[in-house]
Amino acid sequence: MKSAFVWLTVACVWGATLYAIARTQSFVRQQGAALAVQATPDYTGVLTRAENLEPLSVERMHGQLRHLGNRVRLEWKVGPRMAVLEWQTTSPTTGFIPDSEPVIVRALQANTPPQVGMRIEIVRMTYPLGYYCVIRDSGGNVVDVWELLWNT
Amino acid sequence: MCGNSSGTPEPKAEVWVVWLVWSAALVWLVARADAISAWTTPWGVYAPASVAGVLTVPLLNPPRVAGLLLLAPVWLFGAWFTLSSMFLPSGYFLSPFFAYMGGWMATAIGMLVWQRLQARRSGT
Repeated sequence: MKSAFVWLTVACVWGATLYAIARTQSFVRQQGAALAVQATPDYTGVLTRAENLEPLSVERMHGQLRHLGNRVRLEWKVGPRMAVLEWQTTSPTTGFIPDSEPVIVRALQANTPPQVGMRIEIVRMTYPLGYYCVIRDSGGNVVDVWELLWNT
Repeated sequence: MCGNSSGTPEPKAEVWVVWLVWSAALVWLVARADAISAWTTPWGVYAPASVAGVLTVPLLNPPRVAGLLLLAPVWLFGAWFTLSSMFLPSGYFLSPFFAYMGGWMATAIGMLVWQRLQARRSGT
């Protein structure tokens, strides 16, 4: 009887761990978003265009990143429309995703759609192709946190 | 520790029950991570790691197949959690490793020291 209980425990712990491992990615993303809000940004900017961003997708969207002088534009298709998020950089963009590269965008914390004039702070992940985009209103409150991956 | 017919000590039943609670806590945590405060969840991970550290000593003394099979998932989850920390902001890489495996090791060593002190005090 005791032996059966022991092996049942082993089976339960293995099952629980495998389930936990399957959920670890989303768990880490949520943690990453919370840490990114507190982290020192690697790149900063002020939003100059924010179009067709409603509703914000928590699914991964494939798009493109463009460098236009001192502006960076992120665009992706949402159905028949093109969602655009553009910002004027307020820090050097050295080492950021190059021009015309494909990217993957996903909202991790989507409170309200970004608006022109809001600040964007970009924090690098340890993963060399990944970034967190923290969007703040004029009061410094966090409006959204997005995940941006260079889909190279 | 309880004794068996061969004289080898066996972990008490409570140890196994705690392992069941441990696995349930881990599942609950990762399943509800979106709903729990982002500042609470890390402690929800490190606390089970510390509990696992305390229970490691009775499980490995003496080493048994079932004990090792219980510890393997603890290490496996730790390894995967560490690997996933690649997706945390730069500067936080390996912090889950130090917190999770560190918590596990610190409590395991603490338990070992406590057991040795108890044994010395009782003269065994």
